[in-house]
Amino acid sequence: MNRTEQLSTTHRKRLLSFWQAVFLLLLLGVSVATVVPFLFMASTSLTQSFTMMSYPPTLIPKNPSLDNYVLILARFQDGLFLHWFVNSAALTTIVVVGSLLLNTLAGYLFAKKQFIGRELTFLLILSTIFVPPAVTLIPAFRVVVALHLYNTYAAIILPALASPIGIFLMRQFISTLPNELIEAGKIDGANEVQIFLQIVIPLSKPGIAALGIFTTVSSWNGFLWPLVVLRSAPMYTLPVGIASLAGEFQVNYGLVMAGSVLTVLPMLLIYLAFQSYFVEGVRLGAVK
Amino acid sequence: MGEIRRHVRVGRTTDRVMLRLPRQVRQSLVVYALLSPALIIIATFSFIPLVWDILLSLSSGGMLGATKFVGFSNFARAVHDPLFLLTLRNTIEYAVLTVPTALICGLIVALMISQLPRFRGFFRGTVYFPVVVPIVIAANVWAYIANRDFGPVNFILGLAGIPHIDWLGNPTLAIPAIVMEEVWRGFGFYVIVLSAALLAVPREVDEAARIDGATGLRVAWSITIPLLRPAIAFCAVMATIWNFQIFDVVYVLTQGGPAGATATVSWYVYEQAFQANNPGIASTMSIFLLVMILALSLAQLRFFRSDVEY
Repeated sequence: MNRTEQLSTTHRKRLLSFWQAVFLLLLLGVSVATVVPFLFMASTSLTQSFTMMSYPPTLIPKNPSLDNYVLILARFQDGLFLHWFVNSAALTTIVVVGSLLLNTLAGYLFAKKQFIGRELTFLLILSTIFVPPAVTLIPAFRVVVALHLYNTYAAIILPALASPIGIFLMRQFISTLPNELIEAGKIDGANEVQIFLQIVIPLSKPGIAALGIFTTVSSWNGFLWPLVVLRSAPMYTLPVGIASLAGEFQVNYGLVMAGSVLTVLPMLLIYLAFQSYFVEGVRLGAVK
Repeated sequence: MGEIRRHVRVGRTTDRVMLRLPRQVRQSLVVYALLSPALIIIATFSFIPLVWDILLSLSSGGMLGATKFVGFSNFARAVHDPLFLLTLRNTIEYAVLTVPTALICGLIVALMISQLPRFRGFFRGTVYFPVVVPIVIAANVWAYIANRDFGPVNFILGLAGIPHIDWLGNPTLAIPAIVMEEVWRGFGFYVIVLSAALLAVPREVDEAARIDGATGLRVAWSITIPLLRPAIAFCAVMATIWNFQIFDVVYVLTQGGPAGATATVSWYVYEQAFQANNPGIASTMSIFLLVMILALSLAQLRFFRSDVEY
């Protein structure tokens, strides 16, 4: 290697790290811009609700107080917010457990079983994935009314128990599992139920975890459907409740923001704990 | 002797076929029995409603009463309804502004992250976070950020001497303000998808181009981005589908106002069905939405189709 070549390599290396530094700074800016609105949310929730909104806006409130939290948790309309929180938590838990079972079972059957009409049935299920909720909203609402499920939790739970996307993802995941493992189970004398519970489910754990996280988030965050099928305020889920708060108390940002923080907090904790599964879920759906 | 044996063999084969058919039917029945809960749910709440919505669009009547077949008169009414035409225009405006902006932001951020030697997970995790937050909450936060009197955006503009702007109350600025919210809330999804696709791009391709003397920007433009085509196509289709359905944020931020300036088709469908008790016309509008989304998705898939494999 002669001198000029050597020079140009070192030059290029420095150039690269220069750009890396630029990217790092730009990305820091992007991250701050992404997160700052949530910091304002937290900050506003800690101001005193009955005072005027602080101006200029500050990220660290001057006299931080938990008044808004006390108000929304204990005093606001006889603990209405707690009702919403419990509703959201219970509904999300039931939906996640139930739908994981049904979607994994369906995904397994579509991936590993031969049966008449398999491709057609799967295609019919897939055909509903790209249909906007606005299209099925009105007839699905009429179905709910006809089944006497209006303003019941069943109206939230039942439609969410099986999802075309969930079945599709689990089928994709399980079809990558080697058939030999299932055959080996058969040779060892396991029956179909044992094969599903003791071989397929343990092997599908990464897929189930990713789908579980995805379902948790979409169930906790769902808005349009609960807005339409729930009527009485104590039955509301958190997003519907918070939206009603924002409508009623347009000026009381402190209270709304305290409710918002408490709504986001469980998702933040799940996100921090299972971040890799979020990425895995997106990867499963998009790249495969 | 040989003939007899052949007969026996043929007999056995037919027996086997006869035996196998009912067995396959039997096995299929067992599978369908196990699938039935999922199938019944999807049929009841997705598939039948889809077909029913098409029938509803051809009928008149209230939300709960009997319906009457009216042919295509709802479609004729819809295309003459100025508010529907406005929501159609608004919906297209949202999508045209949001989809490319969010996608380009997502692509640039994903490419920058891929160049870093460290902290990749941190940046991906941070930009994806708003996607996990309920839209209702993100919208509330945005209502505060863009507030005319005490919002931080106007405060910063005020420092530059720009008078306070009523972002969400101004008919021309309300859509751009909501688009900003949607880009902020949604671009992290595309960062994650494109980052995953970038991991699948072989490093040698990049290195070979650099050894040949190509600069970073040239490598990104001529090699990396074409290789990302399938992932970009996926993002474009998803972004279009989502942004043609904007509802939650409009519901929370503006209720379609001022004077319908921010109303979307999804919002108008909801409004017509659940406030105006007019499901026939609402179904018709939702069919417009469905056809638009399907046509655009197919067009995009065709546009982005490429022969590049890696």
